[in-house]
Amino acid sequence: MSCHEFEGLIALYVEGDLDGTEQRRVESHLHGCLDCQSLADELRESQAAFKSMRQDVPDQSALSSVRARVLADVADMECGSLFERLFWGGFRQRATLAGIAVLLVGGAVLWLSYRQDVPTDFVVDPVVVFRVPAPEPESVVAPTPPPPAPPAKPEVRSARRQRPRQVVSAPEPQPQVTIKLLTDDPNVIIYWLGDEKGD
Amino acid sequence: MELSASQLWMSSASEDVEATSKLIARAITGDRPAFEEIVLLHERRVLTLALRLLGTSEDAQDAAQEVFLRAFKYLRRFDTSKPLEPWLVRMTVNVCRGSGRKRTRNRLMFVQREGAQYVDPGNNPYVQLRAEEQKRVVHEALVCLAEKERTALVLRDLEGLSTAEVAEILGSAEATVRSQISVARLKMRKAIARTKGGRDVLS
Repeated sequence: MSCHEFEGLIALYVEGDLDGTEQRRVESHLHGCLDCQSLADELRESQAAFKSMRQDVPDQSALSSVRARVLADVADMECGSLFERLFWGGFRQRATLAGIAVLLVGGAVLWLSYRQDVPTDFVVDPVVVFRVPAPEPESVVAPTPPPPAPPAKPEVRSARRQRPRQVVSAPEPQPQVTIKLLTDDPNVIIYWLGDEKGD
Repeated sequence: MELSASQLWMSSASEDVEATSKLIARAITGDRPAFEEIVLLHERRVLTLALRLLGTSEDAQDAAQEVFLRAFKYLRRFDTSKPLEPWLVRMTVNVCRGSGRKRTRNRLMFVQREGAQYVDPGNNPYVQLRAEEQKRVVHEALVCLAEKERTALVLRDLEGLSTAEVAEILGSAEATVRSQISVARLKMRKAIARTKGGRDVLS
């Protein structure tokens, strides 16, 4: 090791901060190195000067001043916390409770208004399709006997949610008459659907 | 009056933990005399350490005040099975490190201002002046150190803590603290030698 590398160890050695092995290494080096001996002497001197700062202790007036300031601040803090507990703390508590109550009431109102929009008696417009049996192909106009009335099969086309409407009862199926009119144009055929009343 | 640094730290080890615990319990419940007693017991240690770390009486008083206010605030969190003084020392170091950063730019001002406070015309003027000059030189050398080096050196050489205790307070590895102390001592030697060589009219 060079002298430069020993410097750090010597700085610890002068205050007895090295363990046995390191201490013996440093002492062995110092035994044969005048420069490092000089460095160790200077370090001892500077350390002695530095340690003289231990004599700098605060005087009694400084201690009293600190104590007075601390106790005054503590009294302020205690008054502040008392005020906070009595007033500000209570106000905060009340404000929090009021906020929660407002939220609850508002939520309830919104929920009720939403519930009123939803139909309670869920009625779907009945769309009735009357199936008319296909007429027999005829070449002449002839009254067709009324086919047996098929049972009306109401088909629900959609089940979407809708506003409540009046319930519409399905009309009673009437016996129907189908009239087929043939024209000169074979592409044009006219069907006439009517009931017995002619409607 | 010289405070024995090692005795100071050892006093915390022999601190009457049970009595301190009772005092703290009373202080927490709002017993102001109990807290005042805690301040009385530890104010000298806290203020002395702050003075050594910061260099000026004004800064040290501000720091000590902050330490005791923090102690009052966080007293409920303190583990009363342990001595109080190491907790306060750690808090003092933290407060001084924080305030030290703020006042770094004013470092030369406080050294010159502080030097005049220790002159005692009642003593031998030559001896007194020489002591003041040495103090000034040491202060100037100390403030030239990096903050961590200065703190480690003060805790080890002035407060007399072991390297392990310093490492615990600073939250560093023991090897790191050892290196910081070594570097700080070398820098102090160089700074004192340079200052004395160029400016010490008494030598």
